[in-house]
Amino acid sequence: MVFSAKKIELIERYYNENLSPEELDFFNEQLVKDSVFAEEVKQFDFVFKGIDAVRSQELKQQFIAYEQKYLAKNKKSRFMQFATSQFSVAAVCSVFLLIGSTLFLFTNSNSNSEVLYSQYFEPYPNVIAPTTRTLNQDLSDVYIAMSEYDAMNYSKAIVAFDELLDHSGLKNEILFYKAVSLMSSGNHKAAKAQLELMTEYGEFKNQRKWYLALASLQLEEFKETEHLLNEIVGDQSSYSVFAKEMLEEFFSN
Amino acid sequence: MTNQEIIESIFNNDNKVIESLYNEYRSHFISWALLEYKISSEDSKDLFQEAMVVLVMKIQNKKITEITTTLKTFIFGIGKQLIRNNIKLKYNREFRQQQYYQLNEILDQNVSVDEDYGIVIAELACMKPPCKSILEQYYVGNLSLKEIALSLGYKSAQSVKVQKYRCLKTLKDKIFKIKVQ
Repeated sequence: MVFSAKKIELIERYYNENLSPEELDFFNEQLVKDSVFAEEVKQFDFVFKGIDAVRSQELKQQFIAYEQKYLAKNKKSRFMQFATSQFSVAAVCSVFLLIGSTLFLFTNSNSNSEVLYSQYFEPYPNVIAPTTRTLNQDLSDVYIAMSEYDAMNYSKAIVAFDELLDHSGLKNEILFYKAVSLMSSGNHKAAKAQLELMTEYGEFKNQRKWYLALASLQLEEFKETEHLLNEIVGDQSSYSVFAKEMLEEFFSN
Repeated sequence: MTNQEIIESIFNNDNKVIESLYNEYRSHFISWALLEYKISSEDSKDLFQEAMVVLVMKIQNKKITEITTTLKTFIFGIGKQLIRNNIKLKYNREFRQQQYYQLNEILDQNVSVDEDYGIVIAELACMKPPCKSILEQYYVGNLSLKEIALSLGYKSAQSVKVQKYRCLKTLKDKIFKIKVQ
């Protein structure tokens, strides 16, 4: 077959639907009249589709890279908002270490956890270990449990929290950290049950509501999530900024 | 930025603009697909990326030269179409499962289509210079003829254009020679 750049250009423009109405009429006429031309068009159509498949794969990889950047950036900015509103500088430093290592694990794991949820969920920092001193608890057991939690050994932490629940005076706090450990291990149903066992207006009441909303989101209980988020906004706790953002982003339609 | 400016930027493969669009509509799309179609966020994220691929490719292939709605509506429209296609595919799959032999036949056809495109991908990768560079830079890297002329030392964009069509013909002839064998 004789090479003609003009003819291939025409076929490519036909493939890309860029022909003028007059050109299209002429093209269709040729397709009917000239079987050799029709065959050539069919062959080029196949080549262009193959090339599109290559380009499409390339773009998909580009968007996967954007997604990774987006998640990394998002986690950092959310953390900064949270940190400035919640903790002193010293506490921020320790939490930063905890979340930094969590983030490292997150980005390097093969976790299939939901993207939405992953934008907002962070294991809550250990703030009860110093408190236990003033409450005169049996410190060693609490410290052991919390050190497993800090080390992200969540299965060991859960066992330790279960033992503490029987005799510790910090029931609400222990239930809360057990719930967060369960969420970190991907067991959202059990986590929700623990959060529901907590006293609604006791210690960690705002944290309880926030993590309950996140667990409900992960369990795809959207009505309950929305209800809880509205309550959090109404409470004006430090989580209200995130709750409002989530409501606008995910429940505004 | 107006729609027209965005289309122009995508056409010129401005990655900053493409990334900012991705970031702007990503969360809204995921939540919309989750709430409207009960699609998991992981799947909706994939669908959103596919919708963005379609948008970019259609603009760069000049299949889309203007957008009269808001860009968000347009992207979500592509997403809706992709979701419908997926639902249709799921429905068809369930239907075909009742007709075992028919299912096998259709699956075989799909496999052969994928394998065929594999030939294009493989042959494109095996092309000799300057064809490999020209085709990859133009179709995959989305560089303009002028940019390719500069990078490969051609006199003009027109010379690259003629060479590009020559390369396309070579690629097509190679592929169909193999297919006939």
